[in-house]
Amino acid sequence: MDPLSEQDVRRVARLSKLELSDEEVDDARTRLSAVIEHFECLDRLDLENVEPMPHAHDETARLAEDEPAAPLDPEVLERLAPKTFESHAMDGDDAAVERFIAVPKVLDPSAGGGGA
Amino acid sequence: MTPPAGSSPGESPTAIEIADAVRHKRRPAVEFTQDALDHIREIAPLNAFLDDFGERALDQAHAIDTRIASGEADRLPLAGVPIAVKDNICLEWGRTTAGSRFLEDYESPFTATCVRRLLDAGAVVVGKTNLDEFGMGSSGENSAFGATTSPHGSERVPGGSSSGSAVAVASGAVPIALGTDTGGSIRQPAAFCGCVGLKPSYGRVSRYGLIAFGSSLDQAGPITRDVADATIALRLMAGEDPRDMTSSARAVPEAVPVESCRGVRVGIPRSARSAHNHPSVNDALSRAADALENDGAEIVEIDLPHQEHAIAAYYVVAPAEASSNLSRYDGVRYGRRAEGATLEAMYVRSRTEGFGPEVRRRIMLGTQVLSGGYERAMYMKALKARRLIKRDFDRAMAEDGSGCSLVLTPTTPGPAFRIGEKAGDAMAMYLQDIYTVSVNLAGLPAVSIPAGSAEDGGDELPVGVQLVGPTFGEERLLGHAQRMETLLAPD
Repeated sequence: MDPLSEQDVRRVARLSKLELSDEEVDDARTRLSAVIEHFECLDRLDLENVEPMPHAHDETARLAEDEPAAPLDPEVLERLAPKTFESHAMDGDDAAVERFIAVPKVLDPSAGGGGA
Repeated sequence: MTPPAGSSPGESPTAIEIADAVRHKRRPAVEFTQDALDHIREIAPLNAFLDDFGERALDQAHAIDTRIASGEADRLPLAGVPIAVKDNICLEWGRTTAGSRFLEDYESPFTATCVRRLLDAGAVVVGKTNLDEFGMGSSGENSAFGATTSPHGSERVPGGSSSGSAVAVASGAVPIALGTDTGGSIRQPAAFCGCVGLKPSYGRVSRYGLIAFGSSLDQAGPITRDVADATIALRLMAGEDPRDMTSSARAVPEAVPVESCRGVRVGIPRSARSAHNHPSVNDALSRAADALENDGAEIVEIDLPHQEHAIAAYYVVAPAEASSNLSRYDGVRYGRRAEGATLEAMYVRSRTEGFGPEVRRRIMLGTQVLSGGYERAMYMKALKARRLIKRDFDRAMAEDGSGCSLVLTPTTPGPAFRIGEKAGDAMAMYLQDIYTVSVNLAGLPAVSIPAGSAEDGGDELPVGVQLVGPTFGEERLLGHAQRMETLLAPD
């Protein structure tokens, strides 16, 4: 397994949604390459006809009954959320106020690219 | 090095002794709880606790005393037993931080099933314990809230990731502390601190309310002063839970100590007596083997030919699962949120500010092994190696008469190392887990038991050995572990 390049580290940081300084890129490259190098020992195994084992054992996997359960109280969700906002319901009923979890804009109309 | 004041576990009562005293009204739960809270304050310099529940714990203890007075003793097998809970296990009061800045102010809306069951049995939760962030570490150095130090030497690590739980028990603050074990995080700190640490079979204890690290590997279990307390804690924590579909419906065992090891075949892997081990570890293993043999056990050497690949397989599988589990920390629904002009910038800043360096590295490692091109090369190979590692154990403990009843290994290659000694070298740190990770990959139960001490650099440090049982073989494992503990007890 080749050691990671600076480009590999930047790519994997981007996929991981992490930002690294130049120093951190260097440090991650050294440390992760040492670990990935150790993975080479797996190449010595004869893995032909061996079934991959994603679970600790087979017997624990079972399905739940298809019965509705009470969801978390919306007030709890709101308390946990870092940022919320409220809005009047879209159906024109003035009394109805709905609360939402706020996030930054997902689509930026100024960036172009069409949209509805 | 003199241990801190009040840190002699030998003087502190066990859970069974406390429950007996409370149930028979010899001493109220409130007094045992007050003792534990005082003790937590005495050991504050070790940074083992992130939170103590003071008044709340005393109220809880008072409620137990009231129930005892009204004749409910039979329903409270752990009446008034103060317990500590690793801070990656959710409680619906206080904070649950997982040792991470990301969850610094997180208040869980629910309580983990394993804790709920101990509360129902009369236990009193006195505090939450420090840990390596999200359970990622073998030294207790990776917490966002500062490292935990060992009661056996201020320059020594207590092990990890259940560092605070091991110190809480070793110092005598509580007789039972809950930990979680993904690759050794209960057994290794228990060994470093001179405690008993039990990792149950995968599926034995509900994972509902555990902050997920590696979902196919994680199990909660007790760290205690003796095997009897670990046995009762497991019996009460274990069992099917409709909220965790990987929890097993199998009956929960009532383990009783065996009277002798006659007729028991104990396998020791040839690779376990290694020149890479600290000499005290090989001595402890021989001492344990001799004690079992003198008690009637047959000791046999066994081969676990794929054991040498366990570290590689584990450090592919566990980070892969972690990278997926930790993708939920995006700053949207709960936890830390950093400001960002776009959604992407908000994700990236929240995660970068919220996660510590080791967690970031493991997320990147996991992302790497799951990303295009590498998946086939590494992740699938690791999952196949995992199958071979499990087959080795299944063969070694075959139930057809050819196999052994239990497997004995060291818990760690050496006693507690110095703070900072391995922090700069990821591989050196990961190799600490050589004897523990294969047990998680194979889903087996295992317990670390104190087996002597090592003289290292002027410190006298505990050394543990690990007894491994077959899948869901806790009854056999703990029955013999309790016997072995008696045989190994200092005169």
